[in-house]
Amino acid sequence: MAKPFNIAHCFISGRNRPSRAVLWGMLSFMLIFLFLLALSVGSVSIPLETTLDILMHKGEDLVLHRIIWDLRFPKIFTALLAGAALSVSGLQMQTLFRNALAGPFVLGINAGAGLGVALVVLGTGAGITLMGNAGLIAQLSLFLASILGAASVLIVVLSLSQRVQNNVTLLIVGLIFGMMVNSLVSVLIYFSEPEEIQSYLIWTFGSFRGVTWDKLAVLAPAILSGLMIALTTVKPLNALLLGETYARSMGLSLKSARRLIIMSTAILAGSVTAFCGPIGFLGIAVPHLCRGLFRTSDHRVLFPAVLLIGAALALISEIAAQLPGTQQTLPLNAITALLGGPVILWVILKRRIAVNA
Amino acid sequence: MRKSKLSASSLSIGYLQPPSVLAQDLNLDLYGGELVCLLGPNGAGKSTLMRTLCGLQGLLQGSIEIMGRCLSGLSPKERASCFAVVLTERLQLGPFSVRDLVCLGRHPHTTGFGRLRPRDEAVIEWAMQCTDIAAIQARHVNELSDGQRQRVMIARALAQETPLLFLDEPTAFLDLSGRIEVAKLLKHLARNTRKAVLMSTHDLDLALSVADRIWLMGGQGAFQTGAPEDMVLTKAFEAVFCGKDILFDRMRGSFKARQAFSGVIALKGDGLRRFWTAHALEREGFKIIPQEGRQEPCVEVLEDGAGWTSRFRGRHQKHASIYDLVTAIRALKEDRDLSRENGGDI
Repeated sequence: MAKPFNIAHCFISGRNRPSRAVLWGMLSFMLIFLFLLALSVGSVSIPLETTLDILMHKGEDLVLHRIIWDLRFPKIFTALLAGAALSVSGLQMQTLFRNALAGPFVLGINAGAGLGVALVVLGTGAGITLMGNAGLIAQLSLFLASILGAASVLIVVLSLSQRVQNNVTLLIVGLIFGMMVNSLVSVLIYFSEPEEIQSYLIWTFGSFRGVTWDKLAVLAPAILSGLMIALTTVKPLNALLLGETYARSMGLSLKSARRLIIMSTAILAGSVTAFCGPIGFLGIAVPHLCRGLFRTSDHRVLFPAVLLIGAALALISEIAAQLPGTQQTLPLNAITALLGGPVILWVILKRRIAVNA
Repeated sequence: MRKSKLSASSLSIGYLQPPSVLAQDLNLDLYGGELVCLLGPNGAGKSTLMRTLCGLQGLLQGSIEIMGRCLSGLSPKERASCFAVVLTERLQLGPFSVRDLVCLGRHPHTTGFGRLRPRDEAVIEWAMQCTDIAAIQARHVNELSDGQRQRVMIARALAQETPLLFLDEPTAFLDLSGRIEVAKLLKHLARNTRKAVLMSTHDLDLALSVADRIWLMGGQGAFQTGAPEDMVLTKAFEAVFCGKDILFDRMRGSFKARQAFSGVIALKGDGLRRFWTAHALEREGFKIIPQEGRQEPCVEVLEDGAGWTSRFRGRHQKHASIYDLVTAIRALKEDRDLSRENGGDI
């Protein structure tokens, strides 16, 4: 039987926190607002009215039409998808490893993608420029290399995960493996030309802007399928909250749960990294933000929350990186670090206080 | 004949890698409605036995049958509807409400995303009623006291709706009233829900007062079982726990530290005050004998709470409390020991 909603009770026991229904409403509203904002701001500011006209196919201006449909729409969708994907995989990793600082990349997936890209950019000597008008073949080979790199790390980690007994060991294996792969990249960098190194560095800054409709046609299904797999891990993740022994005592098969979780994380983080570069901080910060806002660790609540807030934060980062009204853009990773860093610091400091108290 | 919920025959427990056998040839039964306390020193294999019995760890030899079915033939999910466990490990799960945690107990019974049906909700309510945590169901788990948290973990295990309930040292971090509350709760659950409850503990007093049966693991594979009182009479506790530092008092059913022998002392008096006076003198290492005539040293418990008198090395003293009595006697004893060391010529 549903209990009648009692405002007074909510204020007494709920510590003046907004109820979940209000939070969901605010989040959805914020996403719509950000979506429209991202459409109208950029190196060319387009008034909201004009934007809406163009959306309704009423506008006459072909240039603005192109900017909105062919540049901003793919960029926005990429940001939304990438933000959601990284945050969901961050949530999975934090619960799987019971570690507040775990994120999408703890298993070395970004290192694998980075090695793939480095091999193409630095190793071929072809001097592929990433941000410029590189040929389609060059671009394709880049994404292919990145996906192959991420996938090969995934396969190694997955096969190890079936042998390794506990998750902490797996975490350490992932970290060490990532470091080893990164050291290969630094060897490649050492033997490369300055222009190639610059190209590689720009890739490591991360960007949602290189993704066109064509690429989105690959990225979107990849991320959606990753999210579908992630959805099936909601119940196992809840069981894992109590630790591995409790989870097993409740009938969870640790190996198959781990396989599903790692697989979806690899698809999510791997495809985002392949198309947008290694985007940091979002995946670690967003799950903490959601736990704080919704006051729960229940993944049935956290999964949609992380999805929405991750998408929103990625969009905010993209809008901020654009430096609205100017022709300049900042590296995306600088913005996500500035946004996400304080959240992570807050989590760590709050925990210290809780321990000391 | 009673039908057991769990029975193990010629069971060996331990580890394959590195190979070590903690106990072998165990024949065990758990019956519905009974609370069994598993006792034994650290390292005797209590946790290993529990983990083996509920299938979280493989067995080395023998067989385990749950309600007539072989444990190794059960799927993880079927196992989860036979056993619920409460472990010692501390939770670290971030913000999580008491109710949500109890809901996790429904894990083996739900499908998909773990959506709860009306029947699940009813079981959760029942589990919270049983453990008396309904009033705190909206609170967060990490805001609770240790005793409350233990009750929440028991509620989670109840929500799993299993015929067997295993608890690994459920009273370990609790204060005295918390320990007794948890023990009473477990006994009540065993009786009223006809569950077979197995708890491991180091708390002998508690085990003696609530357990229907004791499982005693003695290390080196020794295993004994019986009612707590049987275990006292067969000297099983003494065999396992007593050493050069520990004595077992068979009359009181408790252990005490073995003291260096200080001598014989006569004690006169009766009733409760005599009992605790003797207790204090034994703590000082004296052997108590009844007062006959005027031997020395001696202590007399005066009637009507008038205090104590003592005669020790020719000195007659009056004391207002047991503390005064014991302190005075200890001083005289140390004095005596000192003069003996010096050859008695002082």
